[in-house]
Amino acid sequence: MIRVIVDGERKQLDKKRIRVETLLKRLYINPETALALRGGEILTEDEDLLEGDTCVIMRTVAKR
Amino acid sequence: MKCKKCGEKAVIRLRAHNISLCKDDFLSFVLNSVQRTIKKYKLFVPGEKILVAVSGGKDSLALFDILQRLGYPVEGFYIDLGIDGFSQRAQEIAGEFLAERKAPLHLYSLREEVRAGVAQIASRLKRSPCSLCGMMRRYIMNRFAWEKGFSTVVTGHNLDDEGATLLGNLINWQVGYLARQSPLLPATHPRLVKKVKPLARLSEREILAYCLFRGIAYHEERCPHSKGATSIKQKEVLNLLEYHSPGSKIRFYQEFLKNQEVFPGLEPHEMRECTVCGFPTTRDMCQFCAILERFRELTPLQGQIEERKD
Ligand code: SF4
Ligand SMILES: [Zn+2]
Ligand SMILES: [Zn+2]
Repeated sequence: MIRVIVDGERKQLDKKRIRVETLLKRLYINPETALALRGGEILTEDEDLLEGDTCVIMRTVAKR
Repeated sequence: MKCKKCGEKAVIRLRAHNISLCKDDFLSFVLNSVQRTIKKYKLFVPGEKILVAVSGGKDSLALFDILQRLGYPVEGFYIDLGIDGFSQRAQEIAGEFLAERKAPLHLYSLREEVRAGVAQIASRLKRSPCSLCGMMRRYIMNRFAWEKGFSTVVTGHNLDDEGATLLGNLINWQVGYLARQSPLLPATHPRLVKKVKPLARLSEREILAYCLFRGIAYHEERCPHSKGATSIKQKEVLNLLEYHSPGSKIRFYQEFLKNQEVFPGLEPHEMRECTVCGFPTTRDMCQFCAILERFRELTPLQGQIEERKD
């Protein structure tokens, strides 16, 4: 399972691996308006999230 | 992905510039971009006193950090418009940030001047807070800077802000505004100070990344009145174009600046001095004083009510 936190909301993906680019597409988030982080480190869009990872997505324009 | 400069592992991809960079080269990229904007548009002259408007948000804190690193003698200015559940925390964050950097922070409080916050004034005048907020901020920044001897006020407007403004001005064919929109608004009157926007060529995402890499703790909350703002929609439109055609935003803005002379502008209005505050205006009374006067007329007991509460 991969955990994703976006706009303060927690989501879980039943996946073993997903590319950051694919994740953003799935969430309908334009990569030009967001950064994906793992453990406080920014990830490039070609990186993979793996089982057990928590990814925080920070948006330039908060939806909250 | 490898850093285009040094070949190390890249941590960020900048599609608009068709490059990927490592952390150090990204931080240099940001500093160089701001320095280039400052040089190109001659934003500062040596030795001048520079006042940076700090809201506690990511843009203004990144701006302050960058200008300090580039060696400019900057001081901060926080304008408290008394927005409940927002202004106080923003001010604390701005205060902590400037204290850490051992830089002076000047403060202004609307409640001290009028005994009301911007939302309260707006509701009494049956207007939206946003319709007063920008005008009030500009007035207060100019008045404060002028009174304290600053020759320049710096704001954290970024490429997304400037692009959204440009799009809005084009949609409404605001020819006068189109002729003036620039990273540099010169002082056109002895009581007006110059306004500059050194972040105008950096996208909001680049500034967000800059804050994260530098560990800048900024105010993440948005103003409660910002929901549904037109500028947010305009930014979304531009970012959609950016997604499909990387580099669109910077081209839209830079090519506009290069071709701006096609907008001849309007005849400059004759400037007079406000009968109340003495600052320049095209009418008898400036907008700021007119709003406050109207509010006081509609709220004759304001002073007494507030005093009783104290
Ligand atoms: S959303 Fe922006 S313009 Fe509107 S009141 Fe808040 S800070 Fe001011
Ligand atoms: Zn590098
Ligand atoms: Zn006035």
